[in-house]
Amino acid sequence: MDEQKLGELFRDAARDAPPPSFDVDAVRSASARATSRRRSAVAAGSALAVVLVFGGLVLGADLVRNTGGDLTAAGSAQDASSPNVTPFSAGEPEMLPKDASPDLSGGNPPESIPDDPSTQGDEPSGTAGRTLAGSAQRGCVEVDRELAVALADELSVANAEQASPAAADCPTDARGASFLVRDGAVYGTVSVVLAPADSAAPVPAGSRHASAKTSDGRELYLLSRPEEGSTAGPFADDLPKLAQRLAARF
Amino acid sequence: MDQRDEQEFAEYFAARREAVRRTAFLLCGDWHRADDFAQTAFVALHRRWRKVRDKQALDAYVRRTLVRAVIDESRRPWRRERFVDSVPETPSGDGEIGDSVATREALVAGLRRVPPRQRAVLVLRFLEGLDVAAAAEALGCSEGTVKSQTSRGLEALREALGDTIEDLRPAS
Repeated sequence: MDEQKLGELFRDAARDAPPPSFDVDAVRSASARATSRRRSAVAAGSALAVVLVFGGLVLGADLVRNTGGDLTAAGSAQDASSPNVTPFSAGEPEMLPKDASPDLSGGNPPESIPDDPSTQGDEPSGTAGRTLAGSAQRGCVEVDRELAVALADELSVANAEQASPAAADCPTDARGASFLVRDGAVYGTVSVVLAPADSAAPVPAGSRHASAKTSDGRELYLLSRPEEGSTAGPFADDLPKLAQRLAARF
Repeated sequence: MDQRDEQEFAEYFAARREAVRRTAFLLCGDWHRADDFAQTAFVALHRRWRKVRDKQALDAYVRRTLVRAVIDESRRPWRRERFVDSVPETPSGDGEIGDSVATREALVAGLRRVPPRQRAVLVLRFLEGLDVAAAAEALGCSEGTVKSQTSRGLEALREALGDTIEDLRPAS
């Protein structure tokens, strides 16, 4: 069988075609639908791309701002350092000076800077604002992130990074954190200090406190100190209960 | 598309619809699916009508779209073709017309047993009358591949048909 005869056979096989099930209008409408779908897909893809790019820019700008803030604060701390106080959110410790400013992300700046900072752990000669509270000494001069998160959780503080060093007379090896909070009309500082067993209570004058023992025998102190305009500290009545709950976490 | 383009497309559609349907039928062996494939090819052409500068290439574009649509669908698991040992309907010759119908049905049934790509080569070459180069362009392969596929396709068709149609010799 040659090609010509084979071709006739093929043409003959497809001869009796039934009436077509589509016309030019069906083709046009199907084409319009396909084009519409294509445009919708392109529009959705473009919108997604814009959202991603915008989100990336916002995130990048936020990161840059945070990084710049850290470096700026760290740089200023070089000029007038306050001993025993290091920033809470020190992302790159090796880039920061040994003596840095307190609480970069919140809290009040020191009211005055000590003239002759000591490197021996002595008290600074200057006075400090809320973050130092004139009593953030020896042990808990840094914000302890773990305690800050736990305290923020108990006090329902939205941003744990706003924590300040504990306003307490901390013994050596103690660590702590504090928040400036409002309890109804009462405004004050609530501090938590985790101190070694048998250490002296780190309670400064004017503060109320409660304590509880942690599972490993350490002493957890919860202190409440009123700020100006308030007579009693915030959550003063709840301190024992809060202290128990916090101690159960450690 | 503007009015003039639509008019041109309508004229082309009217002139080529039946030929495209027949090609699609031999490619898939079913008139309903053939209409679907033909419509798919015309829709693709309609969407690209303004971009097709060479109107002489319309046939080639539709042919290529059609063949690819059929081969692509044959690869989908839920539509994958299955080969069976026997032809589903055995034609029974009864007189000249009966012989003609039987031969036609036997060829369509035999083509369905040929692998999709070899079947496409046979349809393009013997139904559409394309030479090796044109078939290679439509299938996006080399001329050597078209020749080998033609040979294998005819062999497969011969095996599928048995004695139903007189001996098929490789044509290339």
